[in-house]
Amino acid sequence: MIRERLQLRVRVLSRGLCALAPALLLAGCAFLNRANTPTLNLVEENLWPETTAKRAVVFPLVFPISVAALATDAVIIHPISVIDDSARDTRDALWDDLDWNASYMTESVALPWRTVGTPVIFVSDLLLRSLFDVRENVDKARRREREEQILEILDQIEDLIDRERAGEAFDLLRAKEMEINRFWYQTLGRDEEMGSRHSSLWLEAAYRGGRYEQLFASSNPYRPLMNRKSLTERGLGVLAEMRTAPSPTVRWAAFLIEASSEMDPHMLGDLVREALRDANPVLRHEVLGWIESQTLWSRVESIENDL
Amino acid sequence: MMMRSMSTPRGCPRGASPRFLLMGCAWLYLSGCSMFVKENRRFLNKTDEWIRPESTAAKVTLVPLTVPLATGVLATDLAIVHPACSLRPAWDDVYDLYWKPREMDWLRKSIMIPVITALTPPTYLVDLTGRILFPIESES
Repeated sequence: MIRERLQLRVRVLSRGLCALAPALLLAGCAFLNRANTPTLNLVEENLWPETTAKRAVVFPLVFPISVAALATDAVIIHPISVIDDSARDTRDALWDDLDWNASYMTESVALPWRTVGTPVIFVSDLLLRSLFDVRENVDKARRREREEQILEILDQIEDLIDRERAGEAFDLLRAKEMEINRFWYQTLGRDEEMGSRHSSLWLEAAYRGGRYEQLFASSNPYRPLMNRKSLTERGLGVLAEMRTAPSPTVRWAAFLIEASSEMDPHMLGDLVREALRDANPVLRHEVLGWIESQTLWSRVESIENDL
Repeated sequence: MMMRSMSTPRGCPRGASPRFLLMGCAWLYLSGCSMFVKENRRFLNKTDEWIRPESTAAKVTLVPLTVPLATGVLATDLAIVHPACSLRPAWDDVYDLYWKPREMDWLRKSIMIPVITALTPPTYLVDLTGRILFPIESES
């Protein structure tokens, strides 16, 4: 009885494996990618001769070693190497967006499900990553690595500003601007928090480092992207400081940032009135010019709508 | 034996009920259960506002108590609050589909009335069930 059951199980298992093998090959088996077979690569580098004659001679010896190496890769090396990726995937899927402060009860409901789901997702993900060459996840991992590098740069800049070396922070931002922007475009600007932090650091470094003229020069393409919405709390604090700064250029820059934000018409009215009461006549003149350009734009828009 | 015969419904193969339950849960999960949407968890959202332990120690200590409590609240949302709130939108759907005044001659209207009267209860039930189970937003 037991023997029959065992035989049946072996039959089912072997059929399953036979069905799985072509599926694995067709769907992009993990071992078709050289990066996933380090042991086989070692065998290839050290035991596989360059000339065909030598290859023919050593083939009977190298073939079983290669199969053993591939099996080691498949069963031990590759699964071990993707454990951290699977753990990260599980964390991202189940444990990443917890908010115990604002939604304690909701998180409490989800806690048992998350706990039960953790081993299930982890094992499924590990199996998937072990068997298939998950390219998308490789890209994702690279992107995450890149994101960590960018965050490190931003931390460095913030640290420089905190140590009252804002000028250096500004120079570092300029040097790394291309790198940060490339990442930003690659991720299609999905990480808003990072974007806000970047904008706020630009503003703070420019203001505290006395480089605001460079930042707000019309030749700087970064300037128009700034508004209240694109700033963090810290950035908004800097903006508030800028509005009462002694330099009219800084006050003008703060006005432009505030005015380019989508805001309530009453608030915008208050902002414009306050700017028109500024002590500096040039700034008042600029504000009038700004009002004129806005009126002109709204006229152009209404004409376009009419057309 | 007694326990086994009591727990398994007659005529139902052993182990079928948990299997169906599991399949049902998987189906709901994959198609997006209505309770995945914050707006549909009205009672639970209220309790989120009421129960807010501040310290980490309090959060950890309360977990054994709040997990069953919050599960009960979610079940109430799913079984009572959300269905009750879906009654009106489901009726609005049926109204839009069948009863909204349309330009139609008297004869056609009189032919259609018995048909739509007959179709109204099943349509309403299907729509209501769909709204209770899945996150369907109403157009309004």
